[in-house]
Amino acid sequence: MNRKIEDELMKLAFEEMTPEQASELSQIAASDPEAQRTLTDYQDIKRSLRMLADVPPHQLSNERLRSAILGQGLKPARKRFSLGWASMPLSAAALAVVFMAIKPKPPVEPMVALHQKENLFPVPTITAPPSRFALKTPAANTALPSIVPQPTPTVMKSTVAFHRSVRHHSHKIDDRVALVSGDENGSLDGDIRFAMNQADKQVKSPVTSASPLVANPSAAPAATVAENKPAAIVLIDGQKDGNTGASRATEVDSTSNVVVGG
Amino acid sequence: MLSSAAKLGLALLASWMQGGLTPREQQAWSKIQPAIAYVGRDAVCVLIDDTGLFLGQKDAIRGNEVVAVAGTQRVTLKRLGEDSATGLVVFQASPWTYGQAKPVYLPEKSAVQGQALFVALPNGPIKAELVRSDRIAVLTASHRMFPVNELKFEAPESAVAGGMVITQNGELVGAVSATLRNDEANAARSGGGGISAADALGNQLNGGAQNFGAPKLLQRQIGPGDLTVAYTVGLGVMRRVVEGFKSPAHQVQHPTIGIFCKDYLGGGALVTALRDDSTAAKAGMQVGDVILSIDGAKIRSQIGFASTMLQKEVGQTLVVWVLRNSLQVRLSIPVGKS
Repeated sequence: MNRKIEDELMKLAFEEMTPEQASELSQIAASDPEAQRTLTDYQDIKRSLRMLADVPPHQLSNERLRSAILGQGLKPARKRFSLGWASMPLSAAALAVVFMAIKPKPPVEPMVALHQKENLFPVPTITAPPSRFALKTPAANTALPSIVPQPTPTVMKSTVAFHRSVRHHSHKIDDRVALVSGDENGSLDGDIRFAMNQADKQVKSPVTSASPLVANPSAAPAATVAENKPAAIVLIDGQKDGNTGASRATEVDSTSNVVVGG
Repeated sequence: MLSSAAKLGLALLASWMQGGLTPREQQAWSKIQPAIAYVGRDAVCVLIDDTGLFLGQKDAIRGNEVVAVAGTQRVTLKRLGEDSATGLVVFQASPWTYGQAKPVYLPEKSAVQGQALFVALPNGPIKAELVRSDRIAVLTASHRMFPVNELKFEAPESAVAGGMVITQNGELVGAVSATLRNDEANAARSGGGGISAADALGNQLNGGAQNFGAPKLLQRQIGPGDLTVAYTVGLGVMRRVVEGFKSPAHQVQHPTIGIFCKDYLGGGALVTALRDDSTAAKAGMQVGDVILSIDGAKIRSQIGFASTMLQKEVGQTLVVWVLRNSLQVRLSIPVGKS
């Protein structure tokens, strides 16, 4: 198909021919598939151009058509907004914020190490013949433990004891957390408590070992922490109140030295 | 005219006799009163069963057999059993016709804060208000720990020991087993500041400490009387006591493994003593062990231990993890009774 027929087809599509010329050219185009395809393309272009509001249909011409096609087709691609290199530190900061938000919180309990030379848990020595309801206290068979304040284990040195396996600031541990025995007297080592905390998180079921003694602290049962730290408790003694006749009650703030049975 | 004045006087007298109850409260009390047995001028008991079982406070009722007035009937109360842990006792009334009075019952849930209550006393009921139902009390004699309800009321002239606390719906809350020391109660009443509004008003009227000439105005003459803060055993323990008293043996079984604990610095309950014949001793528990968990529940203190034990049943076997010489030891301890 030569250039002249293409121009004619364009005029036909844009209705710039007389009816006679149009019918004649339509017959030619009907017999030639390539000419028919070209005519259809121009008609589609015209239909599309009609949708352009800035050019009224009666003003459409070949020149306007070409300029419109060139204007639309050769319009430079819209640039996407980009920060370039500046985006990298911003992304890193965003990642850091997300990381800090999902990072697990460090253990709440203070981790202190007890270094005591004396026996913290003295082995009971019964010096008197035990009666049926005698108490196994170091002081032999005396009355029930007193409710008055009693000396508590003293923290001799508040050194953080997890230097081997704990990164202090990140609160991260490795797999080498294991039971580290205290001194020979059985004082509680801080690692045990820490390992207990880890065991609470890791172990789902208690070990049902035939032997009751286990050396692996991770074998501790999964614990559901009970809310058992009341703010203040009431001590009820046997003395009667002179006004009410009822037993006298006293509120105490600290429960540390209160002995309870069960 | 004269009869109207007499009626008004009688109404006022009846109101005064019933602790200043409003007509609506008097109506509610009239439904509860048949369940109350008055043991002389000393104590009251409350009906807990249609068969004539009455609940009372051991310290308020002396003797194993006492005469009482239940409703309009004179009955003899014979002691069937007692619970040494709570100091409550159960009596059987005779003669007694099944269903002759409607017993009080234990509620499904604990009474709510601010709920209006009656305290049944030998001289009649007084009004009380529940302050809290989540307090913890330790009996220093037995080292037993119980959850208790805290209630407050205006102190009557008579003693309140053994008074039965009942909601206006006829639900049994408990028996007054202890009262807060008066100085602490006054401090609590004034918000911890140590001086109450009535005290402040009295001082103001007296011109403070600088007014030496005017006669001192008694503070008791202004405003309501002193508030009494009292405690009753909590619902869970109360339920166990009542159900135990209603059982054929009329005995209450509190769960125990026979040990005494105190708080441990690193978290846990440090065993300070244990009975020779206790189930814990037989299972291998030793003095110095630190209880870490019971049946999977972590034990952070001796209070936590006692709270956990209260939820157990006699005959149940506990899996207890203790810390001993830096090793964790697993013990299986059957729950005994006390």
